[in-house]
Amino acid sequence: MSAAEPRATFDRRQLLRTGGLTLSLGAIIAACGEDRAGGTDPGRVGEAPSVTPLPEGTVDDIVLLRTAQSLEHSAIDAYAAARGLDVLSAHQDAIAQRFVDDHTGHSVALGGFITDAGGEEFACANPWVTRRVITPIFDAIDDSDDPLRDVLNVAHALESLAAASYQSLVGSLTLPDLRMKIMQIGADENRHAAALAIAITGAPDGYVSPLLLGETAPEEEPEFPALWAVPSTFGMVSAVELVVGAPNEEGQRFSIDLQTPAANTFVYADQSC
Amino acid sequence: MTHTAEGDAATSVSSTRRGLLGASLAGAALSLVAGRATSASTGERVNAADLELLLFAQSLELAARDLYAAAITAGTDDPLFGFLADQHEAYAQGIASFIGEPANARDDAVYDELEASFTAFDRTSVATAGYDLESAAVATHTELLALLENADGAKVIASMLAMEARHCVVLADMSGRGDDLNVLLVNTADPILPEELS
Repeated sequence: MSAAEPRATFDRRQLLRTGGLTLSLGAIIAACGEDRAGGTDPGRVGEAPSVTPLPEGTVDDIVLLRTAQSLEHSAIDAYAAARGLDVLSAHQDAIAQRFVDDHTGHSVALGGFITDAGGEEFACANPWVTRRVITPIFDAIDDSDDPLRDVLNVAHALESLAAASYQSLVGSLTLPDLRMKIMQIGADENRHAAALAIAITGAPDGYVSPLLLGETAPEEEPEFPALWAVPSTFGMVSAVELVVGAPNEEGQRFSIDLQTPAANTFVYADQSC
Repeated sequence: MTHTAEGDAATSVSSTRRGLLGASLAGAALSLVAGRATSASTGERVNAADLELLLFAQSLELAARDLYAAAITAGTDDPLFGFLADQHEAYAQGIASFIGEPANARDDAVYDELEASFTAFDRTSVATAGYDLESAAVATHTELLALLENADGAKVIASMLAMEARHCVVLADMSGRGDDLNVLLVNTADPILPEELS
């Protein structure tokens, strides 16, 4: 810049000076302010409705029992959807009906436990499981390359999930009597899962995981989870893997891990059917 | 309840590679649910009454192990019976790990009562006897859950019960009753309980 040229409006020194003045004035004004009110929530822009906070969710024995009852109805609804696909043989359909009858009986029993404990039963499907598990599974089966395979695998996965769920509830329920009643039902679900594993994998291959017989695991993961009546030494409460549907353009099928009940799956006291 | 020489012999039968695998699985499973004496997840101590119940469950598991081992010794050498002996050994060890007591005292009364049915030298007969035994074990463990106050002890028992229910289905199928839904799915067995509780 030559001496003849006019000075720029702001040079570096002036900018610093102006900035310092602004900060100082801001601090003085803030210090002088009083009787200021207002929420501490983040600021809101536009006309969005105000947010209603969720009620505190207390997890007690009644909530756990209501959750278990809802899972029974999720299974009943899933069997209805599966049978609606009309892929089961008459023999398979009769077995499915037997399982539905068992789940219905479990729900009635659980309803009794809930009312005995002073709660209100929840005789309908678990909303979270319906939305996040059942609906996506059956959406994937819609264009399946083998709907019968998928329906049987879904039945096995849901029975295994129910079995694992009851086992997981044992550690959370506070009363020994309820633990006993829950595992009476849990034993039934384990039997369902074992019978399905043998039906799907065949006998005797479907009896026991080869790993438990000292054999080594195959090097390549199978496309569908291998199923055995006895998959482990102790009952496990880990996720149940399910793969269904036709492969997509990348050769991948729909896969989901079914989880035992947790915070989002629980049926709290304020929920109703 | 005594630790017999016969029990020792049976132990040597079941201490195979599979047995080691079962034991390591037991350790892995229990590390998730239980520690020793004071339980890992709740810190709740095992009271005297619960300890008695768990020792009883342990003795029943050892009797089951020895019954399958007796079937193998008698000549019914199906790999599945060896596997089931290992399963029950793992359950006894699992309880041992939880309560801090060694698994070395089987329930002789149960063993003596059922031994003949397990040494029939006939796969179907042994599978039928096994089905009855596993069904009784499930009924027994279900009853124990109503008596156990310790939540972690209950979790250990529940994890055994779950698989014993599945053993029933396998043995029903092995014994030629896989098409009978009532045999597959319904447990009509009575529990085996200690004298003071029955």
